[in-house]
Amino acid sequence: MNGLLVRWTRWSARLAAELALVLGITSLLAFGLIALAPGDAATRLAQQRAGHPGVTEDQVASARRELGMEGSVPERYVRWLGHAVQGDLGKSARTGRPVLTELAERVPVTLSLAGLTAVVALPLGLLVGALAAMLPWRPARRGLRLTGLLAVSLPTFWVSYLLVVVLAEQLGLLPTSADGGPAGYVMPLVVLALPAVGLLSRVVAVSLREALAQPYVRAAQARGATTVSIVVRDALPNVAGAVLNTIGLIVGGMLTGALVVETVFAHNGIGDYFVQAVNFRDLMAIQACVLCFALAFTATNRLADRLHGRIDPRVSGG
Amino acid sequence: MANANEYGDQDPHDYNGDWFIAPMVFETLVKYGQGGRLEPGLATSWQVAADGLTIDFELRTGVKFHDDTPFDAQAAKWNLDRWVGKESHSWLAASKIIKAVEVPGPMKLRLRLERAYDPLLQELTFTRPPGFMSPKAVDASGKFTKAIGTGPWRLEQITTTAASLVRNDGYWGAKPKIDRVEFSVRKDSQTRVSALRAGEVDMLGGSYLAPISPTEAATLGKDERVTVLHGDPDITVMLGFNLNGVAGDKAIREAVRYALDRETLTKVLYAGQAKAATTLFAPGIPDAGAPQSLPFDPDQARRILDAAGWRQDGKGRVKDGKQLVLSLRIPSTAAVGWQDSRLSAQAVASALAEVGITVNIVAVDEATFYDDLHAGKYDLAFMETYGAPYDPSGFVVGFLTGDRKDPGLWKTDEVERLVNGALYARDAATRAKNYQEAWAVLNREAAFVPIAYRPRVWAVGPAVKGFQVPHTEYDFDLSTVTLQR
Repeated sequence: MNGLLVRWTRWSARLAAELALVLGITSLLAFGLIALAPGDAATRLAQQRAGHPGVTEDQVASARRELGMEGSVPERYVRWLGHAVQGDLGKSARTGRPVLTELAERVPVTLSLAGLTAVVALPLGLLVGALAAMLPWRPARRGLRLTGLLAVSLPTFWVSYLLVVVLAEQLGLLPTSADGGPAGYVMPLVVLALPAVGLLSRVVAVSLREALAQPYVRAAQARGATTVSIVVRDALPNVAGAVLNTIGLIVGGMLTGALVVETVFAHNGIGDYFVQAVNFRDLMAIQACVLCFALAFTATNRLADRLHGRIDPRVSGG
Repeated sequence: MANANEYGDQDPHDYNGDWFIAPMVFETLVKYGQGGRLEPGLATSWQVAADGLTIDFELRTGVKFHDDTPFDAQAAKWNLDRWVGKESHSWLAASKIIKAVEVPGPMKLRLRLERAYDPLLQELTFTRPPGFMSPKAVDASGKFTKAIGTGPWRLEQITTTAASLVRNDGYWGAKPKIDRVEFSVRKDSQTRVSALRAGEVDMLGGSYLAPISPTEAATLGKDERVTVLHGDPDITVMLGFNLNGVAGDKAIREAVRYALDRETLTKVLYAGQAKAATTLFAPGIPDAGAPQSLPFDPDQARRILDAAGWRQDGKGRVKDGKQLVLSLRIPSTAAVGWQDSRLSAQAVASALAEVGITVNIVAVDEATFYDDLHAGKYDLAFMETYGAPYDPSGFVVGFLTGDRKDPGLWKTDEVERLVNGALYARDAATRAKNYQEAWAVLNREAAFVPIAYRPRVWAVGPAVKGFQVPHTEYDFDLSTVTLQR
């Protein structure tokens, strides 16, 4: 019991240190890139005020003062970091509201979308993958594998528009946007789940085929065990590693998918917020989004590793 | 209604929110009417002193804010004091020119000015920041809390992505016939069009509210459930030259003018939804002036270049060993007004190639594009006027006067003198005369190529009857609308 607690504490401490490092590096990179990119939030704010793009240097300079954008880039980064470690992520240049307040409104939207997608995509991906590996009829296995490949390859925006035009506009079956109630979740869910299911089913199919060809499976078959029991008892734990490793990719895919899906289907989540922030060169908001993405990515990957360690003792050393 | 932008804070004296709820809730002393005519709003009349240094307003009596606070000179002064002279409003001449706000009587308001500036009255028709809100709409520290105005609509509920307004039954003017308007944000234009066709929303349109591209307008025009409406255009899309570069050579500018078939270009780029432009300002803008004659004549373009010493050399032209290459800067995304900037740029480039002018297209993102325009990093660039209610004064101040490092449209001492003569004119005739002389100089110098008047497109679903396209793209008048479901 004590040993477990120590291990757990050590693991948490290492995770925290790793997170701090990742967040530090990503925030520095994002800050630097945005600072290097031409165009800045002060110009955009001055244009927003005037209602048109023609603004003078004076107006931009005044907006720059207001946004606290004076000083060199390193100076500004240090200032930002100083506030950020105290939990103050600054104000959005675009909306004038604290970034943390805005994130608090938006993160749950994306999380619910991503959570629902995971609930649908994980079992479906496993099932399709298992079928693609085990169905007795070869053309069916081939067909499922091809479908998986297709699902991964289709561009998100294209699928989104196709669904809107066919299901919402022509057939009138579903609302185009989030404000259409729960039914408004169906299309974004499908769009986000497709690549996840596709990827997962491919990984499961391939690793399951490999596992089924292993000598211990042959041995089990020779003992007269049924296919299903072999898969569940012997092959699946071996597949788990590969599946957990893809979760990182899937989370990354969902984050980029959210950028498109939230804009097209009018879900005001963090993806949509990020797109607007980049267009406005809204540095504070961009930084906050980048931190969220890095956090989500690192945390899910580490959790997946941890789980993998629990399932397969060979990887738990690290 | 579907709306392209998030709503945000509705403080009329700040700029964080979307622009469409504000003009429904807040009103101004003076309103912008057809063709830029100034009409009474919260002021029933106004008098500019002979020396132009004071303006006296007679305020409308019996007007109440939505919270029943009466609108009077004190409330009006409180509003003006909230923004006049503040740095974030410096883009507005009114903010710099108004020296003091006085209350000579309970319903009388007087503005004292630094100098005579008649376009100031037109500036007072903008909703932000000249809109009036209830002095009780702020907290103890003066911070905005709730959108309470005098307008025909009162704000019922607002979040980042949804808003609802109900009719103000106590409104002094023409009351709306419908009792409620609901807005929701749909940032993607394809999704908005689908929502209209699926009957989820009743209206789309306006260049900033829920923009409809010319191609989408052409498609919607074929849908029998949808009615497409066009307003009088107010913005001119044009090709501007950078005087400080190779386009400082008048022969090149003239050649470009003759080489472009503007009629065909407009028809193709705007899917038949726009008219080719012949003036700096669209005909509905005050002092727009007479149309210029701009014939399409590539042979004339070639002759002009030959005569100026730009010798044909292979496909291009050379003078004193220098190649004739113009860099055309465009935003890589379809920025407002330019249906498809790449397509537009390619059309211009191929037309100019016909007469031996090589065009080098440089696509940058929107934020960079405006920076590059200010920095003069181009020979040719698409530009547009500001439109109603800003023009002509808004555009001429930024593009024809001021800092010469920013090339604007055409900044020379001659034009600046004429434009200032118009801006500070004490009577309409002098203003008109100065503007017309300025336009004549621009025409003589081939200072720009007018391309098209940007279409103002609205589309309504089958239930909406009686909608009239508002006078400006920053305005949203539903007083004539009825619904039949």
